[in-house]
Amino acid sequence: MITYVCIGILLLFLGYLCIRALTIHKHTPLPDDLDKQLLHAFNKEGDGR
Amino acid sequence: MTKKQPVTLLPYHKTTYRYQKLKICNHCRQYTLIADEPCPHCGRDQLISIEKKAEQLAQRSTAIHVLLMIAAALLGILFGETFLQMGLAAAVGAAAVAVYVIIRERTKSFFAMKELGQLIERDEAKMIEGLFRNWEDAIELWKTEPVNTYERLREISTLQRSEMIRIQQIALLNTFILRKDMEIDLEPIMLRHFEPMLAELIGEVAKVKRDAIKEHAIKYMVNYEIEVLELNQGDQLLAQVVGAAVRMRTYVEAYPNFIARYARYLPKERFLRLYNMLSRSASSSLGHLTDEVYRIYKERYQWDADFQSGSKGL
Ligand SMILES: [Zn+2]
Repeated sequence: MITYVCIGILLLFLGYLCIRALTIHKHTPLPDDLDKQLLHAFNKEGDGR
Repeated sequence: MTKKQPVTLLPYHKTTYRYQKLKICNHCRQYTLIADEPCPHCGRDQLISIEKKAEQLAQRSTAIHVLLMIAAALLGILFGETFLQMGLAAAVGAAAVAVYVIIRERTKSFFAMKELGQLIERDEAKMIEGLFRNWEDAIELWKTEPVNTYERLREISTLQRSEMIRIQQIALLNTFILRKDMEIDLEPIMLRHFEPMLAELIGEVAKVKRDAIKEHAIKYMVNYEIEVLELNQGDQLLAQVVGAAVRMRTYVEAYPNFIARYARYLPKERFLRLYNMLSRSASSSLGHLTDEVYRIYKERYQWDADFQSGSKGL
């Protein structure tokens, strides 16, 4: 019985990870945005351009 | 003015994205922008790019997930009541790991990018701290190794774009003997306000490396023309820039009046270029530049053979 529970949990976990992997592109920042974020952070006090 | 030094500057390596300049120490987790040297914080030789770091973090999360799956499969095997159950748990476990590894492999660039985003968000303060450490270190070398200081400031200014770091670079460049073969980019060090050192630098660059004078440098001199004229040999500086500007029609069309004011200071070769450019196709948008050039031509070069060949005259 426990074996089937383990297999079930394993498959559920795999399912969750697969959905996450297949939708990852929606949660990925664009390189340009990272640059903007960094420039903003590094130039907070100054006059970043 | 202090005597200028002959120097050799390493070319600036431009990256596609600015964040690619950031390195992290795999030992102390501090950041630096200066490559090819040990970590400025702990001194160890373990710097890697933050992209590499993000990849490592993504690989680590894959490994953790795989381990969890193996653990679930092992539990299934351990509690199996028959060989069939044990075999089934093992088979499902192996298949799940295989499927997951394949999917992760195909999406790994996305996961690395996501880790990179999180890393930047999480470690922002540490990155800033690292940058200011780099900046301080660079300034300490000013007296003894000005070239090194300049090259470091140039790296740091990829991310730190303040007027201060620009002025420091301008001041250093003014102590070097600039040459044509040097890679000089004025764009990252342009200032908003008037700074005599920058005007001098632009004039010097116009003298040794005309193609490095682009729109922003010309515009700066146009905007601060009155201030430049008050400098020692300010008119010469402006004439140098005009000499560089006449290399492209776009600049001539953009600033015809400015060019007209300094056309008479141009050396013959630069004036000839301007004259030929205008005689090929004069345009009404050039205001009195055409008249001024014609007047100078009449005055000085009317009988000059170089001005007769190939040009129809204005
Ligand atoms: Zn370190």
